[in-house]
Amino acid sequence: MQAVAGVEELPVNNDDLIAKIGAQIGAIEEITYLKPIYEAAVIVKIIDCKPLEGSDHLHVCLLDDKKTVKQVKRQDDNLIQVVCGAPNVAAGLTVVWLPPGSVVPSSVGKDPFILSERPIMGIVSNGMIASGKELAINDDHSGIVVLNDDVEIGSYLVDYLNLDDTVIDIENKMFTHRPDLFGQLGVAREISGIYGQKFSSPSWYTPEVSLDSRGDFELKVDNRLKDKGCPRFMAVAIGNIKVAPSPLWLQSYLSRTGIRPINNIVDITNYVMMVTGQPMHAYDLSKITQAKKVNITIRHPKANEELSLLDLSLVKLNKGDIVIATDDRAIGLGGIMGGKNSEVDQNTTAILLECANFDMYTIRRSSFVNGIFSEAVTRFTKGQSPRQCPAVLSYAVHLIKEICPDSVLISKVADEGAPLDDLQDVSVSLDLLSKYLGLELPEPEIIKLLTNVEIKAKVESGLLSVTPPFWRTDIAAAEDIIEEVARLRGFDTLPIELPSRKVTPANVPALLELKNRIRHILAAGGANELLTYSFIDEQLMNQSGQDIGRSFKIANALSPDLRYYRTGLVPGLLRKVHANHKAGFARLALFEIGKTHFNDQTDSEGMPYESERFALIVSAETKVAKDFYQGPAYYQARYYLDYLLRSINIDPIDLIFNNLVAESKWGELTKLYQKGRSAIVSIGSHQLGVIGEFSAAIQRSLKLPEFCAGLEIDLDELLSLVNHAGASYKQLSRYPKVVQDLTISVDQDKTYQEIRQELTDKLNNNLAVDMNANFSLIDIYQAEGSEIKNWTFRLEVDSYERTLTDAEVNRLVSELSK
Amino acid sequence: MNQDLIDEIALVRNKLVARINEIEDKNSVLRSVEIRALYARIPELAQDQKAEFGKAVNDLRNELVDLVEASREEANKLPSIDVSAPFALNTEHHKRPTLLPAEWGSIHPLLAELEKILAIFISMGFSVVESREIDDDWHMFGSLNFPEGHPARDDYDTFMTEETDERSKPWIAPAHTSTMQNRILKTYIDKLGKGEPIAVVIPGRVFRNEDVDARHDHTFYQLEGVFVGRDVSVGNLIASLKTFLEEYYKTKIEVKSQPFYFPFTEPSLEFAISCPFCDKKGCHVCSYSGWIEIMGCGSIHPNVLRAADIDPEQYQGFAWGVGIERLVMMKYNIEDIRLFKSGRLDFLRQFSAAKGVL
Repeated sequence: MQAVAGVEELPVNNDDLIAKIGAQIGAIEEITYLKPIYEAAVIVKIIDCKPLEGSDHLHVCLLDDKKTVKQVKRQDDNLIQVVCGAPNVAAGLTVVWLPPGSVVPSSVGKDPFILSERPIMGIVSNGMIASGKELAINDDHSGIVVLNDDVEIGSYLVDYLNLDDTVIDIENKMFTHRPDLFGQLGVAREISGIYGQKFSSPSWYTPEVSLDSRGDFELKVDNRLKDKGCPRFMAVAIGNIKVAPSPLWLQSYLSRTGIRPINNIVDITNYVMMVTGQPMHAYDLSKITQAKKVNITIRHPKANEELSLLDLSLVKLNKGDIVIATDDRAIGLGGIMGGKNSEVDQNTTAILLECANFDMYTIRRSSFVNGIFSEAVTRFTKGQSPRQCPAVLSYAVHLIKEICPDSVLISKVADEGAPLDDLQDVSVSLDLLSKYLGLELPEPEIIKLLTNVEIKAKVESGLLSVTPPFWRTDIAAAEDIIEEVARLRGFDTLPIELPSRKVTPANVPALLELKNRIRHILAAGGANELLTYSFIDEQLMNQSGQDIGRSFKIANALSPDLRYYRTGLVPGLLRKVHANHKAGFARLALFEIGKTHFNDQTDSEGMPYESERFALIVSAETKVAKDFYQGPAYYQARYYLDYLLRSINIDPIDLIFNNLVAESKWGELTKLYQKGRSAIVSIGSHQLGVIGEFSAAIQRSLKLPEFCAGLEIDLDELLSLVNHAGASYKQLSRYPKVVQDLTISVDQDKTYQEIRQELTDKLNNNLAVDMNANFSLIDIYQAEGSEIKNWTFRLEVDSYERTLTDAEVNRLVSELSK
Repeated sequence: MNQDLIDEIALVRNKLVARINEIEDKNSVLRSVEIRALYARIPELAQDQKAEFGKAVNDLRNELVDLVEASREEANKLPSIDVSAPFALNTEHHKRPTLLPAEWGSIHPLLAELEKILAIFISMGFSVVESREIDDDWHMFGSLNFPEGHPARDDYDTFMTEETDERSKPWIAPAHTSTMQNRILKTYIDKLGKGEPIAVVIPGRVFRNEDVDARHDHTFYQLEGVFVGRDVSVGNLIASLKTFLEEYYKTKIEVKSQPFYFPFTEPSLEFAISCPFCDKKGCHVCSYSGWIEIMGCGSIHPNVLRAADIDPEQYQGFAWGVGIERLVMMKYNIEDIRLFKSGRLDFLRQFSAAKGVL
């Protein structure tokens, strides 16, 4: 936040600003108010420092806080006694004191450590003198923080380091196309824009800047990738460097932004990156050359080339990577991380400072292939502008000069890259802008919104044209300007109105309507719809006898459990049976509607064919099944099938059952179902699917009860039947209906569908034209030891024209019974 | 191996095979005295016969194991039935197949809710097209203005198959229903010529390769919306979504939109609504903020229109994608997204139609 305030003066209140950032820039992930964390810390002078008797490292210190802190036990001379164990403690130092009652900043938000006045080896210690680590400013716990002598004693650390600040962590997903918002300068400009205020970039941030350097160190850069990979490479050598910890303000700044302070040189490159979004790198010059010259080449790796990086990882370089190299070796993985072999350390006296631009696609691929993600990668993969390199480099040089006053440029500035195209003006008609916005903005307002964020804009004869600023790489089309105007004005300020349109009917696919009908029918039939994953595992594929070779395989599966696209719905459903029985649901009917795929089937557009399926399982725990059902579970599944078909106006009387054989469309299910208790069901030429009880093997492996059966139906087949199904209404007769039962005794091997067919044929042959008849099966009986089955049907007959006589119905019955 | 030994094994084999068919405890054949006697012979044999004889005895034993297993399967095998019959023979009327009690039945809450959501959009004139579960790189990325190798592709943790299409690219498990945009625009382009807008909603399963927890699943449902016509403004988008949400939650709501980035919309927005459950006072549904971020949306990018041969100078449009699980979890206070695919009846039966929940 202060980084923002540092470059502009916004008289805004924190809460308002946070709300506006959330609404107009991006979602806020975390807000940290720094003042409460640091407000107790006071800058004090150590007046006296004596070893604590009986301890080998503790000292008893007397601190002067100019009586800033009220509630503390003081000596007669107003000094405060603190015991300190740091090796660098000494009288005369200016240090940071955390008084009793305050919380150690590094413990805030974790396990707060509250300081007190407490005796240490019999000596009362009031609070503590803090290390950098305890202040959460850096990682240094080797000693206490020592400040310059000119800092005012008794003042608050908050004032000295400008810690009356708020860290706002903004989610960066919405910045993917905005490289400038990965630097605080860009964020500040954006905030200014949404407040309707004019922003002015600092004077150093300009594309036309040149560094004056007359050093005699010979720096040569051969950028072989200027056309693809590295559009710009700038560097300069700097001598008389003195590496040391950064000033506290810089360390504090970096830790606020989540970056670990390392040393002044590295910290400056990171600071500049955080401000501008442009990553930089510093190499130790003496580690890359002994001579007064160096040749730097930007190239792809050689075969088998390796490089150890700053994070100590060893990278086997890939051919698409970008390597920064001297004549004899690679010293950096371009755009990603510097090499260990040229790292700046406390002995460094001269550096090569790099400020380059890399192609976002190349960096993304290189980062992925090598598995390395860095702050630089995050920024380069958003497409930084090569136009800001000179300004950023000279700003970094300026800061180095400020912090290492003796430093001096010892080489000319190298700048090797592809020529930059002129920035193209982009335009949009005011008419199109108004259409998108839903209102006509006055021209001056449009111009102001854009110029506030330093976009040059003008309107001429209804055309708004803008010159993209040198740091933006995302303004290329009319819609980009529209977005800019809408966002800066605020989407919520646009008029909200439903579109006006012609009234035309909406289409709903027949398949979706069928699926919804099935859902309602089955739910009304006591069945439960469930959903399982589209991906299943090899074990289930094998258990259910399905061919893994025909299933689409996920190459990057989350786990082996989710590796195969399902080829059928039944296996997934079966897996849910046992657990539900165990949970106390003794009788159940589960169904699912979903897609299945085979990797060898394509549709008319050459895409993988998606088969829409309906599957159902009925199951009952063995004990309960005996109480409720007699006969195989198969018939329970069959009953649900009949129920479903009847409910969608398909007469189940037309169902044909054939043996499930390997050669059929459903052939791969032969291992899933039990032979003799399963069938392919068809109506006419439509093979609907498969119904049956399951093989002993899957029953065992999935712990299915004996009373368990299921079915799977191809919904495209079913749909084509539904499309042909007419209304099922039959007009009522005014004459009474005659009901008679008849029993047919036939050989036990004759099936119901054979008998039914014969019966239908006979009925058609013997029915008078005015008569209406239908029959239904009411009983099947077979005496023990007999080879004859007795089928009892109930016949219902009537006529639209007359009352039927007993004699003619009896004649009909006797014809049918033959 | 001499003939005596061969005959000896053959004799034992015949005896034991016959026994498997005779006795009840078939396993006992594998532990029989005869088998053990054959194994006991091995040490006595001459060196050159040992190996051959041993192998023959092992083969016999394996054969017997298979026979025992097969006979057991045969014994356990249920008799064939007349699969064309509606019920079994000799059954009492009250023990014949029947439907389970209607009050047990349920439609999956996600799909029941989706049906209601679709009904609202249909009433607003949106047609429905369901999305695919396997698609190609062009529909997932290319047609949606994600250039090859574009970093924005990384924001979608996409599952890919080992199998590839004719351009040698893996097939993709769609990470969003936007994969259908190009097809929809091409299918309905004729409407534009007739002065009608293209207005379509697209429900479907989407897949993300991300860690699963109570709020994230690798498989979930989205509803995409696409609207293209003349003079379509950002305000039209906001109004359409607001109207839908007010109808869905049956209450007045406020909306706000913040900038976002999707390659296929420009401008892109993240759409938030005032919490319909606490009237912005703050409750656990909105994490006590009064607002709920509910979906991403935006004006359709001109490149997406161009990819479907629609002239962006003449037509504009908007699109959105909303997660169905989230809407349903909020509505019913469901604690864990994984319950949706758990197949647990204690979960599902709470959504029975008879209870009037849905």
